[in-house]
Amino acid sequence: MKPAATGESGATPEMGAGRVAVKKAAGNVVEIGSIAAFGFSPLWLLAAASDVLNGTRVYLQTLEEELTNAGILAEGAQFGSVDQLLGALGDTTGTTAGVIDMPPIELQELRRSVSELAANATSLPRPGELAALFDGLVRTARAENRSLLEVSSGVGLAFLTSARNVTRDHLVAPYRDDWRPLRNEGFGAYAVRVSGPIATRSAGTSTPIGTRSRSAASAGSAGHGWHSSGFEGSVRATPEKRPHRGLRLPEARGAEPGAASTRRGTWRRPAPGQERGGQEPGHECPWRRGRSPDRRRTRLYGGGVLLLPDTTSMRPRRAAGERRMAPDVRGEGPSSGAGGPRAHRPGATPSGGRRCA
Amino acid sequence: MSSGPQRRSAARVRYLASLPERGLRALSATVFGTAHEAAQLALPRFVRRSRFYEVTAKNALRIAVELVGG
Repeated sequence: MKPAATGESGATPEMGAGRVAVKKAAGNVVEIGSIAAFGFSPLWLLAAASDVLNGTRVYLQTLEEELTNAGILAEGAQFGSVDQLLGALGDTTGTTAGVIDMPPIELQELRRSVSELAANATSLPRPGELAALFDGLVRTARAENRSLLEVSSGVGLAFLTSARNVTRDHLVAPYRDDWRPLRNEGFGAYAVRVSGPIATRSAGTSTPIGTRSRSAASAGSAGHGWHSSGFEGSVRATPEKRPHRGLRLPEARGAEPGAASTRRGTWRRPAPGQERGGQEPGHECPWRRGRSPDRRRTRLYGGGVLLLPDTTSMRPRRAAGERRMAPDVRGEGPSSGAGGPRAHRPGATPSGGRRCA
Repeated sequence: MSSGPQRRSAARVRYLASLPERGLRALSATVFGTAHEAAQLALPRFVRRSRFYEVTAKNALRIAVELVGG
């Protein structure tokens, strides 16, 4: 970067070196942005594409006129191809390089894009499409009372702005959200929290059979780690942990009047006010406590903890309105529709039962 | 009828015989669980939520951690 000439403008003769550096940097950023936008401008692409296709030189002449009006090219300069134009720009980039205090790397980029266009000449738009694009540019320039070069650079700048917005919305912002727990907790605490269930499961495999399922279950139902990272939580299949609506454990089988034995337990008529759903207002379903509402299904296998991938898509489709019924709902119990543990799953609503709040 | 010490020694033999499998399961859970958590942080969200990632890498990691290592 060139040293700043003190008192160049005369207005601020005692401008500090820091202030000059800031102004220079800002000017360079604007200038680089304009040049980068020129690289994406349709007028430039039209001229390059038409040159590659050996098509009309109207676009090239228009670009020459616009560059001449902008003071970049000398009056009366005419070129036979885009390469000659780039060569002339390279010779006259003393101005550009003086403005931005950098080597004219943008010309190398433009030459590279011409080479890429030539390499993919077969996939370029047809002359009719190029002409339609050029007409659109001319109409816009007339409507906006701007030069064609300004409109073309504006389109290129809009492309860059759009690319920046898309990057910000779909890449930067999600990363910021995903890494927020890491920033808030610190890497150590985050690593300990996330690796806790994994470590417990790994340790559970080394314990003798019989204690493994209990430790693994406590790891899976801890409510952190796998839940937050998208894996399904584990649920113990022990009956005492199951929520019940009218279904009692075998210990109570036959101990109460009106109790009826079923294959899976003893059904008892629910208390008044707990008919069907068995839930009072404000009841919090234990299956949903601390779980996300969009949680997928978790299969239970006899007494152990087993987590399976979501196989919903592999299950046979049922007819619309047909539900998977719990055994006592299928008619094995004395009261169809009372609901059992299976019917208490999130989303499962036996006939007449209230949906879990 | 086997006595108590014999049963304990048989259980110990079974446990020792199953140690390699347990070690492999623990290794699987550790390695693939770490890979899953690293992917959660490193991959962009649009990649992680793409259908292709879900049906390939995510399900493979899930099976490796939950079925093999669980």
